[in-house]
Amino acid sequence: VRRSPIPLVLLLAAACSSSGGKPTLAGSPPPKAYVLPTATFTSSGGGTTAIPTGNGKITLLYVGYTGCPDVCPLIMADTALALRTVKSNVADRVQVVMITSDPVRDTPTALKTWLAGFTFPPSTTVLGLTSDWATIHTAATSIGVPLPDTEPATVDQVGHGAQLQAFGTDGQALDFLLPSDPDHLTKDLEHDLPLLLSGQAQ
Amino acid sequence: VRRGLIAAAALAALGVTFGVQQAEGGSGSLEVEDVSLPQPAGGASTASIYATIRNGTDTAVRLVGVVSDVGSGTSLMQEVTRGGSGYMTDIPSISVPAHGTVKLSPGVRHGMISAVKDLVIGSRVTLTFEFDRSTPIVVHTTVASR
Repeated sequence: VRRSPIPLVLLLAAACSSSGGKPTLAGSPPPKAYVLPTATFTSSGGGTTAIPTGNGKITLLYVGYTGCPDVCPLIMADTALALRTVKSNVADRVQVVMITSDPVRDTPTALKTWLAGFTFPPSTTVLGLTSDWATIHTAATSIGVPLPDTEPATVDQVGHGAQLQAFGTDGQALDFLLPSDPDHLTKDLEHDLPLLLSGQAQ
Repeated sequence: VRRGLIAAAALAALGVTFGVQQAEGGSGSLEVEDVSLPQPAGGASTASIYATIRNGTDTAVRLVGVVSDVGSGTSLMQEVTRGGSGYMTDIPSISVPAHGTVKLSPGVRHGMISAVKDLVIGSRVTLTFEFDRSTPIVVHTTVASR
């Protein structure tokens, strides 16, 4: 299906500064030139996979765990709400990926069940990924989410990413989005996703 | 008193949950309001409690626990960021200054209920906020959607 660029153009016009410059993202620029991890994981959808690339989609990547009652579900719920709010031709071009930071408890089935608890648009790809600790540790560290060197034995030792990270269609990190309050992340995503897909943000 | 009860009933009907404890031998009151308990995501066994605690009294108090009638126990938790990672840590209490307000809010501090099962949206939960220098405040709330 060929997508019309018109709605994006309208959104971009609204987001541009009055000075006529490039629109500014609501999120923060990544502190380093992070790239999407390329490791192979076990997927909540079954089988093994790397984070899909080359599909023209923005990747919203989060490192979290299903036993987290506070920040992780907040980020997922806010992300789902934002994707339900933006135009469908934006939501269609986003994939949401959560790499677990608790592989002991987060089986592929547990990840699938947990992610199904959030109402993402049907057209948005949502993946939960797990692996051995070394793979998870390397992947998380490579995108600025330091995890303990040894696998957490109990759930209260498990950490999570401090922010949701957006990667462009080329796999380059573009935007760090913080869950500073319940509405903040949603609004930032609604603002930034059209800009990221357009490639016009700064 | 009757007017207060009517107002409380009206607010409860709107889904606003709160509790009040008058200061002993002094002016002002300690209040717990805007209590929320979002339904845990699919399969999760822990739930978070959020609330606003207003201390209108002349004495600082400490929230030392929240007891619920669901799950196996509760803890007070604080979010700590190390580099780009966040961790929850147990904290023994939360100080609420005299004439001050403290929020239990996402990503900062919250009460955590462990081993919850089948918390259905709309189901009623009783929470007891326990303080060091006040009698407990009991609040009834309903499980909310995320």
